Amino acid sequence: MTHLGDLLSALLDGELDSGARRRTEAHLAGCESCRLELARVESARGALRRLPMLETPPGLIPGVRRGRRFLSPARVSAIAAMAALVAALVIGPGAPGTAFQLDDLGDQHDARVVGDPGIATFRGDRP
Amino acid sequence: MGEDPTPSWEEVARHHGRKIYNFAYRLTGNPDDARDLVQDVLLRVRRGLESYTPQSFDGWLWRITRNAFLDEVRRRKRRPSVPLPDDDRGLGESSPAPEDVLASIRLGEDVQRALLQIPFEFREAVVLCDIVGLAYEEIAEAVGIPIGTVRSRIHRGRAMLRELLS
Ligand SMILES: [Zn+2]
Repeated sequence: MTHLGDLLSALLDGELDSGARRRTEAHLAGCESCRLELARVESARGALRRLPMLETPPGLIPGVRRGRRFLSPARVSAIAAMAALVAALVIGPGAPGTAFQLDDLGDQHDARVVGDPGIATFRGDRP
Repeated sequence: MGEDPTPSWEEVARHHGRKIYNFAYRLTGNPDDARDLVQDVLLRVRRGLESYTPQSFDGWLWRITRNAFLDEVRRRKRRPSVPLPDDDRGLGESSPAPEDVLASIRLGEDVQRALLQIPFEFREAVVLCDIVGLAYEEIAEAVGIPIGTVRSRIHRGRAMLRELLS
């Protein structure tokens, strides 16, 4: 049986059509090694997505005043995730890489789309 | 999304400037490089908008951004006194004091350091996907590679990062 490889990242990113998604999920249900790999790439993906969106230096963008700030839903959830991470580090690590729930993946993808109107616009009819 | 009117230069700057800045910052780890890049890209967008015909705007914008970035890297390679985005600047020179570790995790400095250690084509793919938020199709268009290559670069890039962060 061929393992999923980069289909795992495509699954996380909502880049599979429904047929491919079903096949991928079916394989995952019966393959420990792919579930482990999924957890690994998911953690790297999460670390990147939690990076703070930096402000541009003042004066660089025309018409954008200094110090304009707002918290998008994505930022709020990123901050919550960060707080959880810090708490986990302080309290001590749980069992790494054991949790796998497809629902979680769906939620993350939604959070990304909702969090950025620009992305939602051009991602259009993607699920 | 219906007929897309060509956006004005100011609109592009306002809506995309910050993402362009973050793109450059995450690829180089350097605020000055990032700032220079945004200025260069906005200049090119201003010129390019005159001949822009409605298509995939993001593919177009990020192709310009990427080309500007690579031009800048090439320019700097000819002036050796200026640090290169790919050099080891800031990597592993000293280990941080324990009390700094938590702060650096909070700011994502560990992730930034790891990013700078993976080869450019993988770093670029994960930054366009996970920082800029482009779809695979737009990344393919911006970078000029097949979508299957986008998928494998993103996946391998993440796997490399995970290795470095563990
Ligand atoms: Zn498998």
